[in-house]
Amino acid sequence: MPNSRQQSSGPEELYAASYFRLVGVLAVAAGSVEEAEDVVQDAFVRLIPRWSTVCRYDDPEAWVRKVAFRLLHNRLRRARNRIVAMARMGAAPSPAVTSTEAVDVTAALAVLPPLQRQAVVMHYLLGLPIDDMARTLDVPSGTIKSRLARARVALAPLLREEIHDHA
Amino acid sequence: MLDLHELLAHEADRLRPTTAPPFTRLEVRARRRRRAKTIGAVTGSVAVVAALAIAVPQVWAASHAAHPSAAAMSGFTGTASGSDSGAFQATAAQVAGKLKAIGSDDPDFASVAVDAPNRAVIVHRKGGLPSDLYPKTLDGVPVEFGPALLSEAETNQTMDSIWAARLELEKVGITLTAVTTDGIGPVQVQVKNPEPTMAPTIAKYAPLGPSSFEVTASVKLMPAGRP
Repeated sequence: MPNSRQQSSGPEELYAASYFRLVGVLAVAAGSVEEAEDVVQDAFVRLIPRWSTVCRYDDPEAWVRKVAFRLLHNRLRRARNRIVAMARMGAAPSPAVTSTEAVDVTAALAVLPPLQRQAVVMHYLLGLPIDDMARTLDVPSGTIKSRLARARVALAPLLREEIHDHA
Repeated sequence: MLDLHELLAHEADRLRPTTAPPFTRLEVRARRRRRAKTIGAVTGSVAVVAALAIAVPQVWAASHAAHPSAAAMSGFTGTASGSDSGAFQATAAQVAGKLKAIGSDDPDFASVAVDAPNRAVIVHRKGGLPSDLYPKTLDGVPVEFGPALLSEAETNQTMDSIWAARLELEKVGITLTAVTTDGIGPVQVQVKNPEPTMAPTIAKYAPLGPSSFEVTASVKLMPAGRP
Protein backbone atom coordinates (compact mmCIF):
# COMPACT_ATOMS: atom_id res chain seq x y z
CA MET A 1 0.00 0.00 0.00
CA PRO A 2 1.65 3.21 -1.10
CA ASN A 3 -0.08 5.20 1.58
CA SER A 4 0.44 2.99 4.57
CA ARG A 5 2.79 5.47 6.22
CA GLN A 6 0.37 8.32 5.92
CA GLN A 7 -2.57 6.21 6.95
CA SER A 8 -0.81 4.97 10.05
CA SER A 9 0.36 8.47 10.97
CA GLY A 10 -1.75 11.45 11.87
CA PRO A 11 -2.39 14.92 10.52
CA GLU A 12 0.52 16.24 12.58
CA GLU A 13 2.99 14.17 10.55
CA LEU A 14 1.43 15.38 7.30
CA TYR A 15 1.69 18.94 8.58
CA ALA A 16 5.37 18.53 9.42
CA ALA A 17 6.13 16.92 6.07
CA SER A 18 4.22 19.23 3.77
CA TYR A 19 3.65 22.63 5.41
CA PHE A 20 6.77 24.35 4.08
CA ARG A 21 6.36 22.95 0.57
CA LEU A 22 2.70 23.99 0.40
CA VAL A 23 3.38 27.49 1.67
CA GLY A 24 6.12 27.90 -0.95
CA VAL A 25 3.78 26.94 -3.77
CA LEU A 26 0.88 29.01 -2.46
CA ALA A 27 3.19 31.98 -1.90
CA VAL A 28 4.02 32.06 -5.60
CA ALA A 29 0.31 32.01 -6.41
CA ALA A 30 -0.65 34.56 -3.76
CA GLY A 31 2.33 36.85 -4.22
CA SER A 32 2.62 36.95 -0.44
CA VAL A 33 4.14 34.49 2.01
CA GLU A 34 1.90 35.74 4.82
CA GLU A 35 -1.24 35.14 2.81
CA ALA A 36 0.04 31.71 1.79
CA GLU A 37 0.70 30.80 5.43
CA ASP A 38 -2.82 31.90 6.33
CA VAL A 39 -4.57 29.76 3.75
CA VAL A 40 -2.38 26.69 4.31
CA GLN A 41 -2.99 26.89 8.05
CA ASP A 42 -6.72 27.31 7.41
CA ALA A 43 -6.63 24.24 5.19
CA PHE A 44 -5.00 22.20 7.96
CA VAL A 45 -7.58 23.50 10.44
CA ARG A 46 -10.26 22.09 8.12
CA LEU A 47 -8.32 18.84 7.75
CA ILE A 48 -8.14 18.00 11.46
CA PRO A 49 -11.83 17.11 12.02
CA ARG A 50 -11.95 15.24 8.68
CA TRP A 51 -8.75 13.28 9.14
CA SER A 52 -10.54 9.94 9.59
CA THR A 53 -11.91 10.36 6.06
CA VAL A 54 -9.05 12.15 4.31
CA CYS A 55 -6.41 9.73 5.61
CA ARG A 56 -8.01 7.06 3.42
CA TYR A 57 -7.41 9.10 0.26
CA ASP A 58 -4.51 8.23 -2.02
CA ASP A 59 -2.87 11.59 -1.43
CA PRO A 60 -4.03 13.51 1.66
CA GLU A 61 -1.60 16.32 0.85
CA ALA A 62 -3.46 16.92 -2.43
CA TRP A 63 -6.66 17.43 -0.41
CA VAL A 64 -4.97 20.07 1.74
CA ARG A 65 -3.49 21.75 -1.32
CA LYS A 66 -6.87 21.80 -3.06
CA VAL A 67 -8.58 23.36 -0.03
CA ALA A 68 -5.78 25.91 0.33
CA PHE A 69 -6.06 26.91 -3.33
CA ARG A 70 -9.83 27.20 -3.02
CA LEU A 71 -9.47 29.42 0.04
CA LEU A 72 -6.93 31.56 -1.76
CA HIS A 73 -9.18 31.78 -4.81
CA ASN A 74 -12.06 33.00 -2.65
CA ARG A 75 -9.82 35.61 -1.05
CA LEU A 76 -8.53 36.83 -4.39
CA ARG A 77 -12.03 37.03 -5.77
CA ARG A 78 -13.20 39.04 -2.78
CA ALA A 79 -10.19 41.34 -3.10
CA ARG A 80 -10.91 41.85 -6.79
CA ASN A 81 -14.54 42.67 -6.03
CA ARG A 82 -13.42 45.21 -3.44
CA ILE A 83 -11.13 46.88 -5.97
CA VAL A 84 -13.91 46.96 -8.56
CA ALA A 85 -16.27 48.46 -6.01
CA MET A 86 -13.70 51.09 -5.02
CA ALA A 87 -13.09 51.95 -8.66
CA ARG A 88 -16.82 52.43 -9.18
CA MET A 89 -16.87 54.79 -6.23
CA GLY A 90 -14.00 56.74 -7.76
CA ALA A 91 -11.30 55.72 -5.30
CA ALA A 92 -7.99 54.58 -6.71
CA PRO A 93 -6.98 51.06 -5.66
CA SER A 94 -3.98 50.90 -3.39
CA PRO A 95 -0.81 49.94 -5.24
CA ALA A 96 0.48 46.40 -4.85
CA VAL A 97 3.22 45.97 -2.30
CA THR A 98 6.35 44.54 -3.85
CA SER A 99 9.38 43.18 -2.09
CA THR A 100 12.72 44.83 -2.67
CA GLU A 101 14.19 41.35 -2.94
CA ALA A 102 11.88 40.45 -5.75
CA VAL A 103 13.58 38.43 -8.43
CA ASP A 104 12.80 38.50 -12.12
CA VAL A 105 10.21 35.77 -12.02
CA THR A 106 8.41 37.53 -9.19
CA ALA A 107 8.38 40.70 -11.25
CA ALA A 108 7.05 38.76 -14.21
CA LEU A 109 4.31 37.19 -12.10
CA ALA A 110 3.52 40.49 -10.43
CA VAL A 111 2.23 41.90 -13.69
CA LEU A 112 -0.47 39.24 -13.73
CA PRO A 113 -3.82 39.73 -12.05
CA PRO A 114 -3.98 37.46 -8.96
CA LEU A 115 -6.47 34.98 -10.42
CA GLN A 116 -4.31 34.52 -13.53
CA ARG A 117 -1.22 34.08 -11.36
CA GLN A 118 -2.98 31.38 -9.39
CA ALA A 119 -3.94 29.58 -12.60
CA VAL A 120 -0.34 29.72 -13.84
CA VAL A 121 0.98 28.20 -10.61
CA MET A 122 -1.61 25.44 -10.53
CA HIS A 123 -1.09 24.53 -14.17
CA TYR A 124 2.59 25.11 -14.83
CA LEU A 125 4.09 24.44 -11.40
CA LEU A 126 1.80 21.71 -10.08
CA GLY A 127 0.89 20.32 -13.49
CA LEU A 128 -2.82 20.15 -12.68
CA PRO A 129 -5.11 19.47 -15.66
CA ILE A 130 -7.54 22.24 -16.56
CA ASP A 131 -10.58 20.15 -15.63
CA ASP A 132 -9.15 19.48 -12.17
CA MET A 133 -8.45 23.17 -11.70
CA ALA A 134 -11.97 24.04 -12.76
CA ARG A 135 -13.41 21.59 -10.22
CA THR A 136 -11.12 22.82 -7.46
CA LEU A 137 -11.90 26.49 -8.03
CA ASP A 138 -15.53 25.89 -8.93
CA VAL A 139 -15.35 27.82 -12.18
CA PRO A 140 -15.95 26.68 -15.79
CA SER A 141 -13.03 25.15 -17.71
CA GLY A 142 -13.33 27.97 -20.22
CA THR A 143 -12.55 30.48 -17.49
CA ILE A 144 -9.36 28.61 -16.61
CA LYS A 145 -8.33 28.41 -20.26
CA SER A 146 -8.98 32.11 -20.68
CA ARG A 147 -6.94 33.00 -17.59
CA LEU A 148 -4.03 30.83 -18.77
CA ALA A 149 -4.14 32.24 -22.29
CA ARG A 150 -4.08 35.82 -21.02
CA ALA A 151 -1.30 34.97 -18.57
CA ARG A 152 0.77 33.40 -21.35
CA VAL A 153 0.36 36.51 -23.47
CA ALA A 154 1.39 38.73 -20.57
CA LEU A 155 4.32 36.56 -19.54
CA ALA A 156 5.75 35.75 -22.95
CA PRO A 157 7.79 38.91 -23.57
CA LEU A 158 8.97 39.16 -19.97
CA LEU A 159 10.11 35.57 -19.80
CA ARG A 160 11.77 35.74 -23.22
CA GLU A 161 13.60 38.85 -22.10
CA GLU A 162 14.71 37.21 -18.90
CA ILE A 163 15.89 34.09 -20.66
CA HIS A 164 17.65 36.23 -23.23
CA ASP A 165 19.37 38.27 -20.48
CA HIS A 166 20.61 35.14 -18.72
CA ALA A 167 21.83 33.58 -21.97
CA MET B 1 7.66 28.50 -21.84
CA LEU B 2 9.53 25.30 -21.17
CA ASP B 3 11.44 27.03 -18.39
CA LEU B 4 8.35 28.33 -16.68
CA HIS B 5 7.98 25.26 -14.50
CA GLU B 6 11.59 25.50 -13.34
CA LEU B 7 11.29 29.21 -12.67
CA LEU B 8 8.14 28.70 -10.65
CA ALA B 9 9.63 25.77 -8.75
CA HIS B 10 12.71 27.82 -7.93
CA GLU B 11 10.51 30.66 -6.76
CA ALA B 12 8.42 28.31 -4.60
CA ASP B 13 11.63 27.04 -2.97
CA ARG B 14 12.80 30.59 -2.38
CA LEU B 15 9.54 31.58 -0.71
CA ARG B 16 9.37 28.60 1.65
CA PRO B 17 9.12 29.78 5.25
CA THR B 18 11.67 28.65 7.78
CA THR B 19 9.33 28.28 10.72
CA ALA B 20 5.86 26.86 11.20
CA PRO B 21 3.39 27.44 14.01
CA PRO B 22 3.03 24.48 16.40
CA PHE B 23 0.41 21.98 15.33
CA THR B 24 -1.36 22.28 18.66
CA ARG B 25 -2.31 25.85 17.73
CA LEU B 26 -4.10 24.56 14.64
CA GLU B 27 -5.85 21.91 16.74
CA VAL B 28 -7.16 24.63 19.04
CA ARG B 29 -8.40 26.61 16.03
CA ALA B 30 -10.05 23.50 14.60
CA ARG B 31 -11.85 22.89 17.87
CA ARG B 32 -13.09 26.48 18.06
CA ARG B 33 -14.22 26.34 14.44
CA ARG B 34 -16.11 23.11 15.01
CA ARG B 35 -17.78 24.57 18.06
CA ALA B 36 -18.84 27.67 16.15
CA LYS B 37 -20.15 25.55 13.26
CA THR B 38 -22.14 23.34 15.62
CA ILE B 39 -23.74 26.38 17.20
CA GLY B 40 -24.40 27.82 13.73
CA ALA B 41 -25.96 24.58 12.50
CA VAL B 42 -28.23 24.35 15.53
CA THR B 43 -29.21 28.00 15.15
CA GLY B 44 -29.83 27.49 11.44
CA SER B 45 -31.97 24.40 12.04
CA VAL B 46 -34.00 26.23 14.65
CA ALA B 47 -34.47 29.15 12.25
CA VAL B 48 -35.59 26.83 9.42
CA VAL B 49 -38.01 24.98 11.67
CA ALA B 50 -39.35 28.25 13.06
CA ALA B 51 -39.73 29.74 9.57
CA LEU B 52 -41.55 26.64 8.33
CA ALA B 53 -43.76 26.57 11.40
CA ILE B 54 -44.84 30.14 10.64
CA ALA B 55 -44.89 30.03 6.83
CA VAL B 56 -46.42 26.64 6.01
CA PRO B 57 -49.74 27.04 7.83
CA GLN B 58 -50.13 30.53 6.36
CA VAL B 59 -49.34 29.33 2.82
CA TRP B 60 -51.59 26.33 3.27
CA ALA B 61 -54.46 28.46 4.55
CA ALA B 62 -53.94 31.09 1.86
CA SER B 63 -53.85 28.54 -0.96
CA HIS B 64 -57.06 26.94 0.30
CA ALA B 65 -58.81 30.28 0.69
CA ALA B 66 -57.79 31.44 -2.78
CA HIS B 67 -58.32 28.12 -4.51
CA PRO B 68 -61.03 25.99 -2.96
CA SER B 69 -60.03 23.14 -5.24
CA ALA B 70 -56.45 23.24 -4.05
CA ALA B 71 -56.91 20.30 -1.75
CA ALA B 72 -55.25 18.08 -4.33
CA MET B 73 -52.32 20.43 -4.75
CA SER B 74 -49.19 20.44 -2.66
CA GLY B 75 -48.90 23.94 -1.31
CA PHE B 76 -45.80 22.94 0.65
CA THR B 77 -43.62 21.75 -2.22
CA GLY B 78 -44.81 24.51 -4.47
CA THR B 79 -43.81 27.29 -2.16
CA ALA B 80 -41.26 26.13 0.34
CA SER B 81 -38.81 24.06 -1.64
CA GLY B 82 -36.90 26.97 -3.11
CA SER B 83 -33.93 26.56 -0.79
CA ASP B 84 -31.70 23.62 -1.58
CA SER B 85 -29.77 24.34 1.58
CA GLY B 86 -32.96 24.21 3.64
CA ALA B 87 -33.85 20.86 2.07
CA PHE B 88 -30.43 19.51 2.96
CA GLN B 89 -30.75 20.78 6.53
CA ALA B 90 -34.09 19.03 6.86
CA THR B 91 -32.69 15.73 5.52
CA ALA B 92 -29.55 16.09 7.60
CA ALA B 93 -31.62 16.65 10.75
CA GLN B 94 -33.46 13.38 10.11
CA VAL B 95 -30.18 11.57 9.41
CA ALA B 96 -28.70 13.02 12.60
CA GLY B 97 -31.63 11.64 14.57
CA LYS B 98 -31.13 8.17 13.10
CA LEU B 99 -27.40 8.28 13.81
CA LYS B 100 -28.06 9.28 17.40
CA ALA B 101 -30.31 6.26 17.72
CA ILE B 102 -27.51 4.05 16.38
CA GLY B 103 -25.12 5.80 18.75
CA SER B 104 -27.08 4.54 21.75
CA ASP B 105 -25.40 1.18 21.12
CA ASP B 106 -21.97 2.75 20.75
CA PRO B 107 -20.09 3.32 24.03
CA ASP B 108 -17.80 5.86 22.33
CA PHE B 109 -20.58 7.89 20.71
CA ALA B 110 -20.34 11.59 21.58
CA SER B 111 -22.50 13.69 19.25
CA VAL B 112 -23.67 14.27 15.70
CA ALA B 113 -22.96 17.48 13.78
CA VAL B 114 -24.23 18.62 10.41
CA ASP B 115 -21.43 19.72 8.08
CA ALA B 116 -23.56 21.84 5.75
CA PRO B 117 -20.74 23.20 3.52
CA ASN B 118 -19.63 19.65 2.73
CA ARG B 119 -23.14 18.20 2.66
CA ALA B 120 -22.22 15.58 5.23
CA VAL B 121 -23.09 14.53 8.75
CA ILE B 122 -20.28 13.93 11.21
CA VAL B 123 -20.47 11.39 14.01
CA HIS B 124 -18.15 12.48 16.78
CA ARG B 125 -16.73 9.57 18.74
CA LYS B 126 -14.34 9.42 21.62
CA GLY B 127 -11.01 8.74 19.93
CA GLY B 128 -12.38 9.79 16.55
CA LEU B 129 -12.05 6.41 14.84
CA PRO B 130 -14.69 5.22 12.36
CA SER B 131 -17.06 2.48 13.48
CA ASP B 132 -18.84 -0.20 11.45
CA LEU B 133 -21.95 0.39 13.53
CA TYR B 134 -22.75 3.36 11.30
CA PRO B 135 -23.53 3.29 7.57
CA LYS B 136 -21.23 5.13 5.15
CA THR B 137 -24.20 7.01 3.76
CA LEU B 138 -27.69 7.42 5.16
CA ASP B 139 -30.60 8.72 3.08
CA GLY B 140 -28.03 9.92 0.54
CA VAL B 141 -26.03 11.90 3.09
CA PRO B 142 -22.37 10.86 3.60
CA VAL B 143 -21.52 9.91 7.17
CA GLU B 144 -18.08 10.99 8.35
CA PHE B 145 -16.34 10.62 11.68
CA GLY B 146 -14.71 13.16 13.92
CA PRO B 147 -12.97 13.12 17.28
CA ALA B 148 -14.46 13.99 20.66
CA LEU B 149 -12.82 14.26 24.04
CA LEU B 150 -15.57 12.45 25.92
CA SER B 151 -18.34 10.04 25.05
CA GLU B 152 -21.92 11.21 25.44
CA ALA B 153 -22.31 9.16 28.62
CA GLU B 154 -19.13 10.63 30.10
CA THR B 155 -20.21 14.14 29.17
CA ASN B 156 -23.59 13.66 30.82
CA GLN B 157 -21.97 12.17 33.90
CA THR B 158 -19.56 15.11 34.17
CA MET B 159 -22.27 17.72 33.63
CA ASP B 160 -24.65 16.12 36.13
CA SER B 161 -21.97 15.72 38.74
CA ILE B 162 -20.71 19.30 38.52
CA TRP B 163 -24.17 20.81 38.35
CA ALA B 164 -25.25 18.78 41.38
CA ALA B 165 -22.39 20.31 43.34
CA ARG B 166 -23.35 23.91 42.63
CA LEU B 167 -24.62 24.58 46.16
CA GLU B 168 -21.45 23.26 47.70
CA LEU B 169 -19.38 25.28 45.24
CA GLU B 170 -21.41 28.37 46.09
CA LYS B 171 -20.32 28.00 49.70
CA VAL B 172 -16.67 28.35 48.69
CA GLY B 173 -17.35 31.37 46.50
CA ILE B 174 -17.79 29.69 43.11
CA THR B 175 -21.06 30.65 41.46
CA LEU B 176 -22.03 28.33 38.63
CA THR B 177 -24.33 29.87 36.04
CA ALA B 178 -24.42 27.05 33.50
CA VAL B 179 -22.81 23.76 32.58
CA THR B 180 -22.85 23.14 28.84
CA THR B 181 -21.28 21.00 26.15
CA ASP B 182 -20.64 21.24 22.43
CA GLY B 183 -20.51 17.44 22.22
CA ILE B 184 -16.89 17.52 21.09
CA GLY B 185 -14.61 19.23 23.55
CA PRO B 186 -14.53 19.40 27.32
CA VAL B 187 -17.62 20.34 29.33
CA GLN B 188 -17.93 24.11 29.68
CA VAL B 189 -18.46 25.22 33.25
CA GLN B 190 -19.61 28.82 33.26
CA VAL B 191 -18.94 30.73 36.47
CA LYS B 192 -19.14 34.31 37.64
CA ASN B 193 -15.78 36.04 37.88
CA PRO B 194 -13.61 33.03 36.93
CA GLU B 195 -10.22 32.64 38.55
CA PRO B 196 -7.50 30.03 37.95
CA THR B 197 -7.91 28.71 41.49
CA MET B 198 -11.48 27.61 40.80
CA ALA B 199 -10.62 24.73 38.46
CA PRO B 200 -8.96 22.49 41.09
CA THR B 201 -11.96 22.95 43.40
CA ILE B 202 -14.46 22.13 40.66
CA ALA B 203 -12.31 19.16 39.63
CA LYS B 204 -13.20 17.46 42.93
CA TYR B 205 -16.70 17.05 41.51
CA ALA B 206 -15.63 15.98 38.02
CA PRO B 207 -15.54 12.17 37.98
CA LEU B 208 -13.19 12.11 34.97
CA GLY B 209 -10.73 14.64 36.28
CA PRO B 210 -9.64 18.18 35.46
CA SER B 211 -9.16 17.59 31.74
CA SER B 212 -12.85 16.79 31.29
CA PHE B 213 -14.01 20.39 31.76
CA GLU B 214 -13.07 24.01 31.18
CA VAL B 215 -13.98 26.96 33.37
CA THR B 216 -15.27 29.92 31.40
CA ALA B 217 -16.85 33.24 32.22
CA SER B 218 -20.62 33.43 32.32
CA VAL B 219 -22.17 34.39 29.02
CA LYS B 220 -24.12 37.61 29.44
CA LEU B 221 -27.21 37.68 27.29
CA MET B 222 -27.77 41.21 26.01
CA PRO B 223 -30.98 42.41 24.45
CA ALA B 224 -30.79 42.69 20.67
CA GLY B 225 -29.50 46.01 19.40
CA ARG B 226 -27.51 46.85 22.50
CA PRO B 227 -23.69 46.88 22.50
